[in-house]
Amino acid sequence: MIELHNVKKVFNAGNPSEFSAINGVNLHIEENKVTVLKGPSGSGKTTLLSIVGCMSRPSAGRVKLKDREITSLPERFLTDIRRSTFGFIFQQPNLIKGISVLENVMLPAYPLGGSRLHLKNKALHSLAELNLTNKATSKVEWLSGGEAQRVSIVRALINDPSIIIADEPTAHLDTKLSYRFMEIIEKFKADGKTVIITSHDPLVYDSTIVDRVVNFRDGQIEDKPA
Amino acid sequence: MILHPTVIANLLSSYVGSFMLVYAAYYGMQIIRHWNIESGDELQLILERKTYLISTLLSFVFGLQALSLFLFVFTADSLTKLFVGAMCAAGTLNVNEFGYPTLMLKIVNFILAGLWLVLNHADNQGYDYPLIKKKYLLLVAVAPSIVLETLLQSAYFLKMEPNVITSCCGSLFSGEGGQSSDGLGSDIASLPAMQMMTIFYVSMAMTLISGLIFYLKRIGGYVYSALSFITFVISLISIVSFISLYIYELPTHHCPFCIIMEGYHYVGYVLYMLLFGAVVSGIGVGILMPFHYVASLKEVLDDMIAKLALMSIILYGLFSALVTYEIVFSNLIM
Amino acid sequence: MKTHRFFYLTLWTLFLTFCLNVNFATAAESSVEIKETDRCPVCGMFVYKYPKWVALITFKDGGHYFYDGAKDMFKHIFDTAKYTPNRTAEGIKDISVTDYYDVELIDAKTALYVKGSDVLGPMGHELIPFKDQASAQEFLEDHKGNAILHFQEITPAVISELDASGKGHQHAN
Repeated sequence: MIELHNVKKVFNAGNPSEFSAINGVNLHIEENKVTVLKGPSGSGKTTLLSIVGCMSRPSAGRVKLKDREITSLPERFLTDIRRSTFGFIFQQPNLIKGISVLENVMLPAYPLGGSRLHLKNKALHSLAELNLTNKATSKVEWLSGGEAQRVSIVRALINDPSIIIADEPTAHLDTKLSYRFMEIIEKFKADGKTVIITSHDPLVYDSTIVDRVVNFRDGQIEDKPA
Repeated sequence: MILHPTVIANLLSSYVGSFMLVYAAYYGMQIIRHWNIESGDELQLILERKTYLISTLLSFVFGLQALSLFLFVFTADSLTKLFVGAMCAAGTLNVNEFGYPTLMLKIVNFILAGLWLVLNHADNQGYDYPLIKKKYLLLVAVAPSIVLETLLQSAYFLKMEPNVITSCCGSLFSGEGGQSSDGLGSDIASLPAMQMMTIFYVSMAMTLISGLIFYLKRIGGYVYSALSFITFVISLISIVSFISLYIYELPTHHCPFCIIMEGYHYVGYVLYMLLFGAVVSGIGVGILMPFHYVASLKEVLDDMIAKLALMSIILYGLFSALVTYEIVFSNLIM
Repeated sequence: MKTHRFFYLTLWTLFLTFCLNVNFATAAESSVEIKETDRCPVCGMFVYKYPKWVALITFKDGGHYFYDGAKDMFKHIFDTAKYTPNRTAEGIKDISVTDYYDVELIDAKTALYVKGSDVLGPMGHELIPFKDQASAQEFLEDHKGNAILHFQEITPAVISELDASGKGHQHAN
């Protein structure tokens, strides 16, 4: 489903502070599976994730999404794909302060137009599935860490993406909330979605829900059995 | 050189535009030589990033280029007070041998700039840069023309001296032979007015009909494109030959530049903007027609061409309406 | 009785002279105002921009035209139908030009014209009008004119010569 051919990413090319984050990665990520990119901090996992999620472009190499080449796409096409194919869950919830939970959740769907009422109902329904109905009108500053993380998950789902990308999602969650998170991931898989997670939390990569673990070190995949 | 604000504005915009064009043309040549959408190597990705920046830059440069045609004419009109014998842009352009050639080249470059913008817009609609090589080939072809125009314009302004007597447009566009009326202006002015009017309306009617047929039935795109260019030329000739007479209400005054003056409510600018807009969109239809085969443009190209044709038809229609209005409500006695 | 008659005669003479002078004055003044839309029928220039050079012809049927200089006025007289197809030179009633020093309209037929001076009008080389010989002569000496012409002496050839002595570097006034 997602193929990476010889992807390289170099920051500050040509300068003395040139840094090669990814050094020639070849990877194939299967559909409807949970894949974890595991590796120490600084190994290039987050960079790779952002390339897969159309958030940045590689310095060399190609990425194919469902057989469609995405690295050469002009920006306007890339934003369409990003919006409709991917849902992003970050390390920090990254909710926008000053507006309510409901508005945060509906935000990624605004550029698509469509009926606001329909969108609102959909958002409320999704919030209900994660037991957040009574927080719908709250300001995001009042949420606890776990609640904020759950809100960011709902936001990631608002455009019905087929691929969920999560970057160190359990970094700020306690054990109980981390297990809860993995249950949500299992539900995604059951719904037919593909999940890609970066983590160096054993609770995540040792989980039975995970189908494949890819080891990263210094910008390359290590050929160690998962 | 005369340090009039309009002169400075002209020169500044020409030089900035020319430098950006040369810079863009350099990368354009790289793209033409090395572009390969299939490859994933570093140069290709760098070119992909670069083209995004350069296309945006060039859109502004070519947009500015198109506007500079009108700025140039406005400048010539503003400077008439400095030259004895000049009462409109016609006289100012005649103060040295670079004035009219600059204008001619600006007209050509307006059309080329407009065509590049059309091609660029089409290229941006496709997800795999389908027209990129053709776009940059056009750029490489157009850049020298614009640089040449900048040089001619510089020579024109630099060589301008205020204490010069220049020809009045009455003699430059005189309908009869005599005095200094030895040139294209007089040749056009002496064409028989009534016959020219017939030719104008016939060619405009044919063009509009062809355009409507193309818009509704999608046949005859190239025909329309060719006709719109022919009508453009005939319209320019007609302005000198008879349209100007009705606007001025003077049977001997053929000047195509006096109509932009305040005394005539700046109607000249409106006429020329309609006409130039119409010809660029008309020729744009012809330029995009050959790219039907491109996969990434299949869905959007037909729509785009149709819109261009419609824009061209409307602009020509408005032009004809304005001309007819001037003729009908004129107090001219011929 | 003689004194009475003399008195009344003087009074009438004065009165009539006054009336006649008033008539001449109005004939020389334009009883028509220059509008912003008035253009010279020969070259198309907007006349209101050049108030010091205005020339005026009124026709017997009341029609009138303004010009941006004596030269264009003469061009119209010499070929009236070319610039105004429904008029002829026979239909002309009054002709006026602007005196260069006084900047007032004077009768063109009695005016004197200096040719060849370095003072340029809106149309380039011009015939500069003066109300009398003295001012014309003074101007000719000050501005390098080469001839003083009467209205009747001005022919199409004179006008062509003025137009032809054109392009080049001059000091415009």
